[in-house]
Amino acid sequence: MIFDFGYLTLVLALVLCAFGMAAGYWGGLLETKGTALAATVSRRVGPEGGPSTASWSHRLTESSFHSIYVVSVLVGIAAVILWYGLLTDQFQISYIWNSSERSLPAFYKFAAIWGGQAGSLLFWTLLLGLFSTAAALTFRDSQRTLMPYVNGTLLATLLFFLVLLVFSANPFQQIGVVPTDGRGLNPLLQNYWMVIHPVMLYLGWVGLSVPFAFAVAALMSKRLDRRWVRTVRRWTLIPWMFLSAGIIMGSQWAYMELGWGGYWAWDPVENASFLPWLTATAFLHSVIIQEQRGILKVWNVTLIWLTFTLVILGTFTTRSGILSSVHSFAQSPVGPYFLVFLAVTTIGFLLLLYQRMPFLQGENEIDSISSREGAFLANNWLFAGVAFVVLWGTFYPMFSEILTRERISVAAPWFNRVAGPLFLLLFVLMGVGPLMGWRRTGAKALRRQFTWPVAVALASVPFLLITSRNVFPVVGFSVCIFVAATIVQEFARGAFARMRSRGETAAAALWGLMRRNGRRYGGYVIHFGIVLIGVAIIGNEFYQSTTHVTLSAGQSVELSGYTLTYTGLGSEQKSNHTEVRANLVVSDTASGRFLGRIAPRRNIYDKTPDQPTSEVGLRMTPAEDVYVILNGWEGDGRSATFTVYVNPLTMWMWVGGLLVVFGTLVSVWPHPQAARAGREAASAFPEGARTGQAAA
Amino acid sequence: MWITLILTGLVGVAAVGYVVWPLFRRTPFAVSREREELADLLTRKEVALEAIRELEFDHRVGKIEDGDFERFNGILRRRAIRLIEHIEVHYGNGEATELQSGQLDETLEAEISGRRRVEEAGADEGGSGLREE
Repeated sequence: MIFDFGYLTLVLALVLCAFGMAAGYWGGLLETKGTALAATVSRRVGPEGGPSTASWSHRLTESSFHSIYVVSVLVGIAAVILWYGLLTDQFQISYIWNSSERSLPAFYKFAAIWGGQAGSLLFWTLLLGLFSTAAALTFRDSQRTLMPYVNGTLLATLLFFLVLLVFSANPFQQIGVVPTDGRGLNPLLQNYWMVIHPVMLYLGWVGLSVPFAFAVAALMSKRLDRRWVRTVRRWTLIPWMFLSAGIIMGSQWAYMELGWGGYWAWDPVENASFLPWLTATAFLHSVIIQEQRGILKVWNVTLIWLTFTLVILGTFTTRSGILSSVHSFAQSPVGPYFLVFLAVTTIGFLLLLYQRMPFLQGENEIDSISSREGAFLANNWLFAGVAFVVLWGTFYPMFSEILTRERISVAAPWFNRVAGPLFLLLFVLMGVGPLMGWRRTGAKALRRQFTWPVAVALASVPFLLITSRNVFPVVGFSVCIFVAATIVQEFARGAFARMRSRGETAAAALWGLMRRNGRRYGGYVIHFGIVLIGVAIIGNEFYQSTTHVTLSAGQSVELSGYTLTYTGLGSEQKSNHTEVRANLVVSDTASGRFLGRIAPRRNIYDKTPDQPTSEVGLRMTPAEDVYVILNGWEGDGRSATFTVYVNPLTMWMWVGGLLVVFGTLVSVWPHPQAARAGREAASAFPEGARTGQAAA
Repeated sequence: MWITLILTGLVGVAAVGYVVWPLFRRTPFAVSREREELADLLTRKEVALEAIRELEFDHRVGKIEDGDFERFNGILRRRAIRLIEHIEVHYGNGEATELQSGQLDETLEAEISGRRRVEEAGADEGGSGLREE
């Protein structure tokens, strides 16, 4: 009964969503028409002669706001009902039967809502509803011209997902009988990172719908000034932060759970999350240029549309089955729906863009390539280049099958070889950009800015050559050192200036810098986090060592200065699986000093004993990880087979990820004394638009 | 089954009622062309002032040479003055009179120094303190 009600709430949400979308767009069109009319009328008869369309426009817009709130509540009710079913083992529901079991810990039962197709679509819709509500509440009064279209676009996206839920992937579908137990959650998903990682990715993906909706609204309302880009910057940064965190957590999951020694395999599903990250990062940089210089208007709306499209495309690839992946958790008939939605949004957006081209002319030109905007522009080209390479490589199996009837996949080495040099150039620009001023940086200034960072990077080369004769890691590390030096220089200059002028201590000056201009210095923290991630990637890519070995109890293996001694096997029965654990002692080969114990294990799940999962054994230090996979054993554990890796610098990837999140929070944190500018812009007529009075 | 239908009916009536309710309400419309134009002008003014502050900071830390600074500073200040003049003339308490250039320069300086004060002499870090939504 309750599940029928859950389904009917989704049907009701769909109907109201369609109505709200129409009301939003219609209200917006009437308002745009009304504003144009008002301009004509006020020129002829004065400001009092407003047109009658305005009242209807306002009513329709209000109705679209109400639709967003109601749809969010209805989808929320449906989600709560599904959670109730999962937590109380209602296996008559097909989704719950497929994704859960009685002995599954409650933690994973809760997370099972995003462990399968229909549940994850419902969860996605719920998050989109919450983001839409947050945007509607935030901008209800301050963006009256844009909001009807923003509401319309967000409701159109919600409508698409509700169509999927109602017609193709009903999470409340019943199977007619009540099975005694469920089939269980995919064992690979029974990991704590899988509880939080998809949520982060969804928050990132779904959140990027808001800036896209604003771009569409700016185009439709013809209000393509700088207001919309100022408005969406923070609303892009927050989803971007979630997406970054989701990608890093996914890497951590792959590192700990998939057991192949690495964290990133250029898998189609990994790429699906990385592609919108690339274009969103490019957008975050290029909107600064539009804000500062009034240029790149076409590029910016195109970038945010591409980001939205790549989000939908990524979701499509993981659910349609067109590309195989270890992550593809669901294959179902939703593929055609996604293709239609992609086609409609693409054609609609491009037509709208074409119509609005006259309103998208740049207000200025770039004065010099040797400027911050020049560096940002080059960075955008590179981001676009990397995105194209990743997109091409991801879909190459599909293209090759269409063209040659043979499915040919490109593997990680291809991605590394093609995208690697582009990433290196991006890193160089990450160091160069902040050293440039806006508009033009002359030769003398360039020398002054670059001397120390370049000198530090060059000084590091001889030391790096000691560690490797391979030129690629040496170049890579020296570029990372150059970027880190530029960031340190920027912080040092800012801090010294504060210490001189205000007599602050170094710590207070650094805190003041971050607090007073979080946008700039938060960005530098993010860059530093990216540098650390780069260091970890180079360390893993070029300095990793590995061995594959079978050991009897008491036997040892040596690798990169570590000795690992196998001491035996143990097992433990858990609620829905058996853990088989191999015990190894790690010691320093040279001195024989005891360093710790490592216990790689295999989890054999009761429901799927033929698909044991690997839980790696790990000893993590800032210098390197000793990473052990238990491949198998003989008898009761007299001997066991292991793959051992020594992964240098991997810890810095996770530290870098944390810094990216921290830097983003610094960037979006409200300034302590928010200028009255925003308040003025938000209020109808500020207390005296007279600027001199306001400043005093 | 009947309970499900009754419950759905009740929720449906409440939801539909809430959504269509604004269509039957007479409310004054809030959007005006003047308000939008003013908001746009204020944003452009803030961007121009922010650009001046960024330029000053870049010059102070040696990223912009003296000659370039003079040129770009002049361009940005003229732009800011034009915007302030426009706002003053069209929205400044109904005084639709042309302002003297000396007054505008004073106004601009007051705006910039006001920001410096607000940021507690934070000019060293080039902060703008402008609010994003």
